[in-house]
Amino acid sequence: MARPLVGFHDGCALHGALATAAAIEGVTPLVHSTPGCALRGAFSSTGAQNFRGAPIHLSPISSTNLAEKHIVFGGASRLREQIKNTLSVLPRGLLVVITGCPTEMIGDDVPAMVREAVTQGEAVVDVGAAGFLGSAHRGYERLVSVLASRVGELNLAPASEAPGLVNIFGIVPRYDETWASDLDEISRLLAGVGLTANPIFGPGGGLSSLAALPKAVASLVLSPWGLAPAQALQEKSGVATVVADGLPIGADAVEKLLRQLAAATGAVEETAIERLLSSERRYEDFALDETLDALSRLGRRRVALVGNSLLAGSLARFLVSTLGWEASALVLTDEPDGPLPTDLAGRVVATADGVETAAAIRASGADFLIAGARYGALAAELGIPLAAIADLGGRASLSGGFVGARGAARLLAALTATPVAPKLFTPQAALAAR
Amino acid sequence: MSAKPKHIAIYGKGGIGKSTTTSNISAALAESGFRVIQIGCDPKSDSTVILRGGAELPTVLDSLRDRSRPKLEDISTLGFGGVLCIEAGGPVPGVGCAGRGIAAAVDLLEELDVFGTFKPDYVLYDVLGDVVCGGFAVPIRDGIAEAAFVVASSDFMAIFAANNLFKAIDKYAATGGARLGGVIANSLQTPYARDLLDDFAARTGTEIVGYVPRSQAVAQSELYGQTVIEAQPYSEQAEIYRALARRVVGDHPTRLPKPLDGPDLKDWAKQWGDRIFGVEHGAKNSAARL
Repeated sequence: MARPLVGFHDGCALHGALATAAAIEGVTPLVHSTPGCALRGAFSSTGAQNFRGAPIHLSPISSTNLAEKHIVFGGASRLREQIKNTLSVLPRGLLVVITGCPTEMIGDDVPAMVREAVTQGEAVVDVGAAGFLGSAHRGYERLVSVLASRVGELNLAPASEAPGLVNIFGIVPRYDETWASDLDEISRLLAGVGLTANPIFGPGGGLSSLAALPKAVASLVLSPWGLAPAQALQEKSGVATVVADGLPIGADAVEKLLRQLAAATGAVEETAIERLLSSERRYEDFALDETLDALSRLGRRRVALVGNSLLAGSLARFLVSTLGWEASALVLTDEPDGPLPTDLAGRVVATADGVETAAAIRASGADFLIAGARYGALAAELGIPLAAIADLGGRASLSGGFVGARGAARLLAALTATPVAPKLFTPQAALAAR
Repeated sequence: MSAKPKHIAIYGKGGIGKSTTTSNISAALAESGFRVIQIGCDPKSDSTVILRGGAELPTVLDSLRDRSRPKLEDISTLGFGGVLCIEAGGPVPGVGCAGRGIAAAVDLLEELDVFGTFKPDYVLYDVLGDVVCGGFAVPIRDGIAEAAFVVASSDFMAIFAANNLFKAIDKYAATGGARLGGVIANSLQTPYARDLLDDFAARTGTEIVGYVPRSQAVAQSELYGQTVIEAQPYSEQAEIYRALARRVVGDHPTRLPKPLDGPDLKDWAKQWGDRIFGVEHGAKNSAARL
């Protein structure tokens, strides 16, 4: 966040860390900042279309709610008090202290306060997630890296043995809107070949999931934001890192991913992969048959794609390789670090800015838009169809995932659900032409 | 006297003698019958100590810490000649944000309508001088002090701090901030000190408004917890402070300084280094020849 952004796509680092911590059952986030930080974090996670109030799933958030005197004289003792009070009213689990901009600027000695609680036998950890450090995705990266490297010190109940356990890194709760259903489908696919997914977040995750991190045979990295946590865990506990090409959308991507995991873990049987892939391919073929009529009416499209790096690149690959469409622009709204996807070189922009995104869409000459619902007005202005893959509210996390053949089917449904004005003969048009 | 008090900020590097100079100016003005407020804007909270004979004074920020809304008498005391002494205060070293503390204290003084209540002729702000962040620039921003003075000696670090203040003044002048009144040359001891400061003032388009020599009178008075004006009113040093006070509050043109940039300041310092050590070296050589 080195410049002012308009029509911002993401929350700040604190918001990402907050949503990430809140998505692990048994973890209590404690925001050490001014009151607005925790409240605004709650707002931003609902997306631009649902700006109505703090969502129920993030309330109440423990916060030190600093006042001016804490800024002037330091807020460390206020934090000590809040840690004590939070632990006294909330069930014991893991308390994650997330520090915001003001406390990072005045240099509160947060680690000392946390150490104090830890020496009293409490499970507390701190993460520096000042909003100015970057996007919500950056906040996920920082928080999960801390958890991965310090999981041994957290006094968690030991995890039970799970052979073939694979940690899933890089899907950011709430800020990658389809997070829960994507984690769920990945878990189902891995189970199909005898592996066990460790999703960390959502109903399949929790404190036992955290405790199990070092016991995994591999960490699967699905977006650039999962790389630092996986590497932290590899350094600390020797868990191998497997970097995938984003979410596996469609049967071909699933095959590539499973072969990567098989090579890295040596714990997957070839027959199991073939069995799963055959069912995935049948499902995808069925979905293509069902939508064939609508797809052929759409024709080959030049598509502009706007989304997070978890999703956008692999969506483009699926559209190009399976449907034969052309990707004319790819906007990565989480501004990932590192090199941009090379197979789409020259057409990729990484920006969280709404105005820059709109400019990239306009300049692309696309005749189809895949983006958040907030771009509906722009699509209408350009007279092109929009398939909304974000700004969908909470329902996307339950039923909107794009993983595997089932994800591909949902994508096909979204593409063909968008009404396209047919170029039919009408008496009015004929009159106008005359 | 006047309906609208004149606000003056005095900056300078730590330990340069800002508080001593400011307190003596306040004392000299009070002695002439003016109503004066001196506000220490430094977490050390010792700006007004020689005006109040070492008497206890809770700081403005102490009251903020206690959360109660203070009254003017809780955070001020009358010192020598009726000077109203106020200390902004701040956090203990290494904790919190002293810069925000200055801003919060100034806000609180405005809320308490200190100037409307006490009706001063002059308000002097004694500010920690390195202008390390926005908080320490509050007194020279729009609507507070009209003029800022900087106390400097011939030490390079004092001049460096003065140059930084010039930069801050230039930055805020465009939006109605204070302008520079001039440089107060303090603790002059060495033979070259005066020339060096004159040259710095000339190079930065500023003016030396007073030369204060290093003096036993100051050290002695401070040991008794007093200003020179109070302890040794008939001394030469007291006269120097009186003249300085007249100059500082007088109606003289203020200006926008032209601070030196990093490399220029370094080159300028090096030239003076060569000059000073050249003189000493030459003197030694000629002594050896004899």
